[in-house]
Amino acid sequence: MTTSTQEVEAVPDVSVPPPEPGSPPATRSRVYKLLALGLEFPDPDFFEEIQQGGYERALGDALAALPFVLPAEALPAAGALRTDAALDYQAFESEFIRLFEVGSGGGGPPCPLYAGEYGGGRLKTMEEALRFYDFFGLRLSDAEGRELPDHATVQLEFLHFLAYREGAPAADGPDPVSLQRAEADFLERQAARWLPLLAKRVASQETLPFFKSLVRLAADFARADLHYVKSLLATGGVK
Amino acid sequence: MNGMDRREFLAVSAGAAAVLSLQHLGCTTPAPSRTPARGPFAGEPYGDWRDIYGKKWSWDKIVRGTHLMADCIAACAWDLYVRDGVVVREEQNTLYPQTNPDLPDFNPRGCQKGACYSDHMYAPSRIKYPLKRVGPRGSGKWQRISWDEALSEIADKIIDTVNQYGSECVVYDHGTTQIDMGPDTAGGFRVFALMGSTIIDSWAGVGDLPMGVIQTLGLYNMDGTSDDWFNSDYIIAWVGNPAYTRIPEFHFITEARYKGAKVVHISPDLNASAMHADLWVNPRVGTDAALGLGIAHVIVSERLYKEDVIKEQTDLPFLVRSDTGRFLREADVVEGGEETGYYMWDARRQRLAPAPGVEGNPASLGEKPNALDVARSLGAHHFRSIRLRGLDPAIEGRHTVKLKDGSSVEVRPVLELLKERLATYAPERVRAITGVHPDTIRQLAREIAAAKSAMIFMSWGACKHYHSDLFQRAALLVLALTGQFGKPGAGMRVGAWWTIHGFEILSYDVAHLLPPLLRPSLELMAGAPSTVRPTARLMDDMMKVLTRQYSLHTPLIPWLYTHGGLDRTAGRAAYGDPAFPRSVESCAKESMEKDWMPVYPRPGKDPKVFIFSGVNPLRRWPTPSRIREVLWPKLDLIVSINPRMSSSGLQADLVLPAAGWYEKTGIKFTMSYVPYVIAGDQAVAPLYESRREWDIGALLAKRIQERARARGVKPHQDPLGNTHDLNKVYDRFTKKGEMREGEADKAMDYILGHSKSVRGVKWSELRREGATRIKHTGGYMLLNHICGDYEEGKAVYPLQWNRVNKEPYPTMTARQQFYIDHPWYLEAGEALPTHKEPPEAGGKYPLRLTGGHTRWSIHSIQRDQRHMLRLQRGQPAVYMNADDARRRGLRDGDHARLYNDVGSFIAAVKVSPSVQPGQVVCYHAWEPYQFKGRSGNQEVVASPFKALHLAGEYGHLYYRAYYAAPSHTPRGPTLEVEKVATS
Ligand code: SF4
Repeated sequence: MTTSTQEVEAVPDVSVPPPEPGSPPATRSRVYKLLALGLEFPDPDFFEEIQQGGYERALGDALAALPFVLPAEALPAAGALRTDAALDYQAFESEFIRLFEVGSGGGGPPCPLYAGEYGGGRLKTMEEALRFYDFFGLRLSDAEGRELPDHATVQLEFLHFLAYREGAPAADGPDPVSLQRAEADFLERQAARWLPLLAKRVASQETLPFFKSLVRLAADFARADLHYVKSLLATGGVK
Repeated sequence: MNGMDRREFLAVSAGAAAVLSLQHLGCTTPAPSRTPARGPFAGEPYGDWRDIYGKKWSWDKIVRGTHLMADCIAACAWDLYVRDGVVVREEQNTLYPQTNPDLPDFNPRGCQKGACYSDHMYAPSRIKYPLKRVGPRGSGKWQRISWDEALSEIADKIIDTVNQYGSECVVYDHGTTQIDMGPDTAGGFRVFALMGSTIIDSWAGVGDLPMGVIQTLGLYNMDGTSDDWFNSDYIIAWVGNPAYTRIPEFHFITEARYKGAKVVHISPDLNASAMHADLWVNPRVGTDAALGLGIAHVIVSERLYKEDVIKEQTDLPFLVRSDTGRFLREADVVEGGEETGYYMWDARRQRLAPAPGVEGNPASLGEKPNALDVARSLGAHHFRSIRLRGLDPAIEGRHTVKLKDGSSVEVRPVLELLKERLATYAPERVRAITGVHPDTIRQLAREIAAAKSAMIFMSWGACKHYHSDLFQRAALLVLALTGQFGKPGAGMRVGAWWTIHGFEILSYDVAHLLPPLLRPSLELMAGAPSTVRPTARLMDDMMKVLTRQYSLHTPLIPWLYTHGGLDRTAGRAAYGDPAFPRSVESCAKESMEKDWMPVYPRPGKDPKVFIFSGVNPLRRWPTPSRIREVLWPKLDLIVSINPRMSSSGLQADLVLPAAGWYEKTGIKFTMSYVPYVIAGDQAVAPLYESRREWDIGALLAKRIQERARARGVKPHQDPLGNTHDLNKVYDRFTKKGEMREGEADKAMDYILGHSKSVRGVKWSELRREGATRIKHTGGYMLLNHICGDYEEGKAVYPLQWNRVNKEPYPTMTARQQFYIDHPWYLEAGEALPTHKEPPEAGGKYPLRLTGGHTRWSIHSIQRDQRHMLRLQRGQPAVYMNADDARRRGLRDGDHARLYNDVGSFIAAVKVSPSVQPGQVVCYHAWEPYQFKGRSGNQEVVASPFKALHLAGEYGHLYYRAYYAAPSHTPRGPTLEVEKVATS
């Protein structure tokens, strides 16, 4: 028995006016996206950006514009988000695969990038993430090689989306407070819950400083952002 | 990413216009409205997280699914609930209607592994994309490559190997772990068979081949539907643990017991099935043959046997010469007489009488027969019968017969010899061997003889000991003497499959190699109506021709002996049978020289490319560290095709991600337990970049063909002289474009359309319904030796054709054959069933390692599944008797090193009073990577094999695919255990 599925439109609604440049939602949205990009499987072009400092600069600029201050220990040391000039792409790729995708000892990687691997039950975690996405009119893209709903990059992308729409002044758009409540809940129940656990695992690995710093930053940022959004909601939301 | 790549996103400066860039997420609603049906974008505010659970019990779709390529020896239909391309849960369905009010029905079917497969399919051990090793083998350093690169690399290496060394140096192993009856399994076999590659036959290699059943019956895949167990009033589970290994079927045993059947369990340890029995009998490890012979002793001495049955159905009336110990043959008595004519003693006329229906040697077809040979053979076999037609053969006494040279010789019926043998197995003596009380032995004998229908559930675990064949022969003897076979609820049950003929011919497509007139006769034989049904022996002959002359099937254990260093342990005299004067080495040499046991590449030539799909050789094969040391360096390319990273994948050069069970369509293993063919529809697209195996096979064939044409490769011959053409391998694979990559469902229709068991069913229906009731057993074939008919509403039981219709068994004597007069068997003292102590395979150590299939995984699949680990110790563990543990200072939960002369491993100890003194139990299939130092429990397995099993060209003892060959023997190695500090 097969019942037909809902039609899926791959291109999301980007036609709404963007948030004001440099506004808190725009900046937060950008940081989420940059973090997601850092945790995507690296391609040679992006590796070059990392190596030449482009990625570190972009993140640094975005972090500097945040409406809240990250704890000092959360901020990556200078140069931590770029890689050693001697490191080649293959070594970087191979370490990404070892750390996050395959591991070297069997049974999966030491630091999988899936929320459900850090408690809460994998299927429950995935299903809840899907429910969040669905409630906001989103589905997983159908592109080949699509990721699962609890992958760090998907979750960070969702937060990128929520923050973006929070700041998008669409007349017929949703109430921004709704979006802030969702951000707080999604962070609390998902991203800000498990990213610190991921960071702890990565910290225990012998790996490149880039991965340690990036994951630590993602975890600390998620927690700080949760704190920030909650503080806004405590006074009625939206600022 | 909405037209923006990563670099472009970086390039947008922080102060510039904000950009929404989504790569993983898309809108639920189509343009132009882009207004979701609910949620904040539809004016429904978000209050808190409870809002998202509003429509909790809703899905995008529900799909009929199953655990397609699981070698779980079952088939269960499930409903899969899909939300946004993710299977969020599965549920057993109840689609098997009751067809006979006197029998329990099959609802519901399932097991705990199936119930959490959705969790396993998303495990982080899934492989996402093709991987290429960039460090030394096993270093864990990988590079992501495209399918295109991977296929080109494999194709070129295969072509190089075929050109330089021969096609047999490309070796394919599908093992048994990940196998079904659909296009994905067929696709793997198909591409390699078409190239003339070596195909590893792992049946005996897994240790699943009941050689003693073959020796006795000439067949072994015999079982029926599991509702037939309900027809039994005496069920013996002997060296089996159906509560673990037959989870969806086990209720039939419990229900039979509620109805009044007695359930007996025979195993050294009190396992999960034993606790449901009325009587638990616990012989010492490896002494089951003695127990069986003790029971037979009582049956014979108390004359509890069924004389009419043994006269007709067994070789017990056959005459044996007292001087040579061999059967009296027509060639002995008559000038120009047949070597395969045998005699009985006509009690009424007091003279020799030729035994009717004798089958002789399996050479009636010749090596490469034509259609006429088949027709002639069909006719000759068809009218054979073991019916005695008034002949009353003597089963006792001594007689003198005149030989053709005028001399006289004493002859005796086999039963006379058997009595002498059984005289040494009086219950009191058997007690000394087995530890079982004589009263229990007598009780078993009398109860089996008195039962209306007694059956023995004998698992494949009962094939994994060195002398398993002797146990099986003894158990079959008990059933034969008491007439407990060939009737509902009776007989030995080993497991069988409904024949899916379309699957077999799609897998091993040799039609183009056959003489033109033979091709249609093959199809005809498989689909023939029962009035002209080919006999078991003729089908065996055909299968022998096809799998010995037209494909390079190689039994694993001789292959490992030749290429994988198994000779280092299996060849040690101390690990063999001291009663057999010949060495394994000399038997192996003779067997290979005479081509009794085909090994490709032949000794002296190395395998070069090794591709395995699903199978996990470095988990299962004996002493994996030696395999890595001896075999691995010979291989230029090792490829693992698997949904997940296994211990073997970690040691491969290329790893290709295969789709999981819910990510493709297929036909589940068609075990005869359930009279349905269960199919799985595709619930979700293959995860990440994984591909289904059918597509992998097709794409590989395509790339090989492209590269072969570009490189101007010429057709080549395999070692059997069959010609293969790599320039046409894709055209053949796809049947000239009929079924290409992405078109597995066309292959599915081909399979269904060529399978009598599901005649008339279309894939479009089957995928919708999830199951179809079988129409026919599908006929005697590679996996189906049921020798019984299917009738809707009736339970199926094995050996009906032989017992009821009096058809010959496919043995040399056409009967249940308890006497084997092959010279090696005579020399070893195994012409008749006997008991022998298991060898000290591992050295002189006081404990023996046994094991069994675990309840919590399907071999190594799901061995690391988190829910399953929570139901057990959560790490590799061995079970030890409390006294044995105490003597070694071990307490429950301690870690211990288990070692012998072959190897060692470390595991947690579970102290258990259910384990016999001297026994250590390690349930199977832990991945080596789950052990300290990646040294798994197979490291102590010397796996010596019986040289007798290398014998060939003796009646029914010969090799063809999935038939008589030496076995892997992981059970029973000797070892010692010592405490180690836990770190
Ligand atoms: S894994 Fe096998 S036994 Fe278990 S539910 Fe699935 S098909 Fe049935």
